Amino acid sequence: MDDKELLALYRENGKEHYAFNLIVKAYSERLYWHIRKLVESHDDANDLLQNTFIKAWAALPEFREESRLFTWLYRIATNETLTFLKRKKIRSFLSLTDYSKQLENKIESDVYFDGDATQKALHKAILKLPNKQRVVFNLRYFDEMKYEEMSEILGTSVGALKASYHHASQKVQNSLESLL
Amino acid sequence: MKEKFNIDQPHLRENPYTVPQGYFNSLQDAVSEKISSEKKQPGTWSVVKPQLALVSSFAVIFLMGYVAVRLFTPTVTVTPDKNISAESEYFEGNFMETSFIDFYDSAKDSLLKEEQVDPNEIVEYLNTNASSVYIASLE
Repeated sequence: MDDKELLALYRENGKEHYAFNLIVKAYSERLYWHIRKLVESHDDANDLLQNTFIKAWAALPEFREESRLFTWLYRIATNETLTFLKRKKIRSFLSLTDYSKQLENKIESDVYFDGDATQKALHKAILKLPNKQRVVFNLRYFDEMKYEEMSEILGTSVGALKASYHHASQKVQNSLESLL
Repeated sequence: MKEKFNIDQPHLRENPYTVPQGYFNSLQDAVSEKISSEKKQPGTWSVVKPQLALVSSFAVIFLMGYVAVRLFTPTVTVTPDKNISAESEYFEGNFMETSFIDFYDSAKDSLLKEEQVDPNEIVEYLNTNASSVYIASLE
């Protein structure tokens, strides 16, 4: 069932819960991995994903299909995650700790991380990027998303995204070389 | 050797993260549960509404009481006493116009006078404190 059919079903009387469950089923995995790569911990990713769907449920009656459902959900998830990271960063600044160091430690101690040493080093190198650049890098590098779709999600021009990705990949490459 | 660290290696793009078993299957139920619990929670308006009704009913009662007091309280008019007003007019005419300045004599004001020093007193002071004056002059 595609987005249009899901939304049509959602607008049918009494079928909104059923249709929304199908939306959750269709997008939960993709959204989860997108969030997880940004926050590292499974628990945080789970909370943020549930919040994303709750916000989507509340806002769905006003969704006018000006953008695709998939883009819209990605946008909510990205905003939720960036707000979460910002709050965490402020809290760690006040307690004189380094949040990106905390995230690095999470990779080391995470029981739900199965990668080898190079993958670990890569993910640690990605953590050194600013949060928004990390989103751009992840969407392009891991999800292989088109720049046009990224532009819809992040509200940034395609040119700016290409430049951001280029700089980010150079930074990651340099960090990876210094880490290994 | 350098190729080993290249970010374009395909295996680096693979997802190294895992989730607890059955996580995605249970997610739908968790989201549905959260949505229904959010629904049950009363909204801000439903909490504020009864309080607002209580406050507005008190306001109406107060307003009605105020209007009743204003309507049914007899008005008392005070007529001025003719003798008192005549006396006050006389006082204002004869005394209030005389200003404080008229009573003030600057020649008698001790605050403006320079204190006069008697020359004999100076001589006497120099005779009794000669040694201290000499020491002060050396300094």
